[in-house]
Amino acid sequence: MKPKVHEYLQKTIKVMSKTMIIAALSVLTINTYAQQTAEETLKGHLQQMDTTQDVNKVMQASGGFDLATKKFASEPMTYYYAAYSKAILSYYLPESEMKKKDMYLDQADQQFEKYKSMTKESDETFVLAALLANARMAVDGQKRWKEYGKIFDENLEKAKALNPENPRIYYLRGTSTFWTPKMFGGGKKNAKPYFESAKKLFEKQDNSSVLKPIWGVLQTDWYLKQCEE
Amino acid sequence: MKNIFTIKTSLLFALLILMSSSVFSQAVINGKVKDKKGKPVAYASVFMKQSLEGALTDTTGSFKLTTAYTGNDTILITSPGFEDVEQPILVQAKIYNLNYTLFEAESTLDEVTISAGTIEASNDRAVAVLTPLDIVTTAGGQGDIIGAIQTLPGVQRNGGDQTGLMVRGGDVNESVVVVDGTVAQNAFFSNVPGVAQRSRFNPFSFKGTSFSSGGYTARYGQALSSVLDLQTNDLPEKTNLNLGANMAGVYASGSKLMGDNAFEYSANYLNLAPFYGITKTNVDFYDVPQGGGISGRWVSKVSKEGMFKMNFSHSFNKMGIEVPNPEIAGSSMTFGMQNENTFFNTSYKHWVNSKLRYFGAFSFSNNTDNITWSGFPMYRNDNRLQGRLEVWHEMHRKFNVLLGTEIQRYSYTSQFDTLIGKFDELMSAAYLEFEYKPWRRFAIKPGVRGEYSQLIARGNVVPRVAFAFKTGESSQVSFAGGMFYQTAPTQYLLQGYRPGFQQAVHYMANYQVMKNDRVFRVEAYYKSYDQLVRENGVAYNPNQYRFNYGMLDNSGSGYAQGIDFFWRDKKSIKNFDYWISYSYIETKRLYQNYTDKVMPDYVSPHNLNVITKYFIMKWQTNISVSYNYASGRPYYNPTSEKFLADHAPDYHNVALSAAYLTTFKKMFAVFYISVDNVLDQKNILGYRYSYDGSQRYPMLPPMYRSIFLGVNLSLTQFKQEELP
Repeated sequence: MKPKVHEYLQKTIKVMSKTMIIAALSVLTINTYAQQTAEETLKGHLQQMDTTQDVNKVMQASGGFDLATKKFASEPMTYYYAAYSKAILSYYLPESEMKKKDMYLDQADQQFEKYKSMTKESDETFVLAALLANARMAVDGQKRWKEYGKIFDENLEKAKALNPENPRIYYLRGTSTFWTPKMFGGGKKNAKPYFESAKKLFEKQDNSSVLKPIWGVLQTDWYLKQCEE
Repeated sequence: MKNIFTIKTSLLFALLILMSSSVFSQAVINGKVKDKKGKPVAYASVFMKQSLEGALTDTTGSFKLTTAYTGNDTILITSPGFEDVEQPILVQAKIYNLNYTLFEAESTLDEVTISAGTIEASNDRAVAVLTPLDIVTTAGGQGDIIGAIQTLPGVQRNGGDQTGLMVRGGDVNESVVVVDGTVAQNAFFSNVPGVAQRSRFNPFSFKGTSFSSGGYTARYGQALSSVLDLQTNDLPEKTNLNLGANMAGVYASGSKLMGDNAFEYSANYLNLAPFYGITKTNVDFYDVPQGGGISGRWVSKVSKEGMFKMNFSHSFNKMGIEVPNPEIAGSSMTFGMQNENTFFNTSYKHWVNSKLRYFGAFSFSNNTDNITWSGFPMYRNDNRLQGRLEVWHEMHRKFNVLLGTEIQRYSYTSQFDTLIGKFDELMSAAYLEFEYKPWRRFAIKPGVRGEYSQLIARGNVVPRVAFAFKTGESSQVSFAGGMFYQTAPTQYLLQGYRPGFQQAVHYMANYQVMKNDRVFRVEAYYKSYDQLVRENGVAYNPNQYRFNYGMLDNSGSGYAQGIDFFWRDKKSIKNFDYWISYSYIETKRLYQNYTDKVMPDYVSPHNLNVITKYFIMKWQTNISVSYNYASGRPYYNPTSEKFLADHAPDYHNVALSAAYLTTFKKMFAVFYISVDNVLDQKNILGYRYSYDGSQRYPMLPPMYRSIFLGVNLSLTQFKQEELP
């Protein structure tokens, strides 16, 4: 009897343990899936932002980046994207929401400062500074172009001095020209060469990881299409 | 076998423990995040500091977090525009239902700002009612800051015969223009009888204009009515070159930007022959105004904390004009003038940190007029030195203090034939002002200013106060009041009279709503005047260039009360902007050589301005049309029983201006045309009577309809980051 029982138990345990292991492993897998890496998290939110025209989705993505700054507090790119997303969000908000736009941009400035304190100064630092200045200007263009237009230009110049191959320099210059009234030297025709340069450089860009800024590709295509119309 | 069994069993138990911790003992935290009003806050981030679990709220403000971690943790909720909420939580394996309320973050934008008495025109501040660009694009303003200021409530419409600003019953002597902290003694071109003169300033030089129609800050004194406080630009945005030509002359100006330093320069040649060639004037020029000037400017950003500015200008002008003789009604006289003016001012602002700021300013000016008055030579000279030192300290987020001192030394000389007049004044002052904001909705700013005049050997100490309540998201009520002293006008001091200070007390209440590019303001005020200068023992003479002042004392008095309305709307129609200002004033004074307490002869009880601007995108053209109305001013009629009881006809003016903006190559060009008094309205400002009263002659503006044309070309340095 004894061995039989023993044998039975052993068998049962074998089966049970197998199931258990599978079950346990599956639980573990689920847990791992929930515990995304910083890179995966950022990539997901960036995709969400890039593929929507809905201000709510952008807000959600931006909130996601904010959360990422807390979850992956040691990863500087979380702050980078949190600041970046606020600038984009400010463009999406309706014109009349000036206070709100400034409020998001205030937060973006703080996150950008944090990013700067964690990283070495690079062309991307100045590109983001230029984007934030452009967003500030866009809140109230008539009153702010003088002050922020200057900051925008200065930062793009600094970025170019460090890396003239950064496509975002030309993309930003293009968008700023695109939205400047024709009588002040802006407009589609004047903006197009910038987007064309940006596109060429974007093709050379290494898009393998979001831990290096990669934004601007889809947007450049959109603007080029607008310029052709 | 046994060994295997043991291992397997222990493995099983280990797994069971592991599973139970992750499945059976999970904490589930459900929650809802709302704002103070109970509205859900969407996309707020909810984060647990220990377990690093996080979630976003959805559009209903709800979130759900699950965590395997048990023990002490902290929930952190953040959302832009709200104060962070942090709450310790003991996490156990159970289901939580939590509610959170977020409070709006305090931002300076939401804070109350004191608005009584002051209208801001600035690029910097969110509270500005006007921007500098508004000033130059206002039809009827003739591109002059003062022209635009005259469209604001509380300011008397100038019919074109007086030089200066007349605010709320005050005459032209009662306003002061300040540039970067020091007084511009010769803000206007030298006075010509019956012909209003422009200000000397280029409106593009200023980033901010703060116009106070009363109750102004303790920083300033020696103005019974108002202060126009101008702040020059910081660093230019680019190196550029400007060339321009218009019917008053040609000019060139430019700026060279060198990192944190910039040098700006300009030169102009003035000749009004083209302008007066087209426009018919009511006065004859035997020598058309001509002249020239140069100016230079150095601006330095000293590290991140300091801003240094230095302005210098020198100009020379001459003209000869035949004007109605102020002495003998009905006759005319020649008035020839050569003017030379030098102005230098410098200022330095230094931020030690965000809570401590020093400011210093110094200015110097010298102004000489060589006049021939009906063939008689007349010489006028005035010069001024002024220094100011100031420290501002924010002791607490709710409390800051400003302490300052200023010294002004100025002297005037005049010689007419053999008559020489001269005086030197040394005026010293100190002031202290607090600002206390106990709540976001309430601010109070009490101040005190002490002054001492060496010339009259007298001093005064005056209180000033302003406070404001925020009554809604975009509306507020403010109050301001204070005492103001000013020495007697220069013509008396030049003759050796040394009367005491003249005094004014202001009280005003203001209600303002600013929302989405719409502004509504209403302001009621009461001012009392006391110790005004009075001439005794002489008969009334309407000639403002009279010589005999009799016996002078400070027995004059008066009051002014009124209400000002301002409405501006940039929102309702795209690219269309308009404002309406209306002022009503009731004022009387007994001063100078008046024989009775009456409404002064420069006051129109009703003033209305309607300014419209429309930008036609397709044509790249900005069009502005304005209408000004002023009810008739009193004038002196010797045959009338009552003093200054007759009123001139109402004043109407429709003005139009258009500017076409374009860019070719790298050159930005603006072509502009402005037409003043489009309808050629024959305005009459009053009458002058012959000595016996048998004849009367109308006082006319210098011109009726006038046309002004010009072009400005601006070349900007090529951008550094051209295509790769």
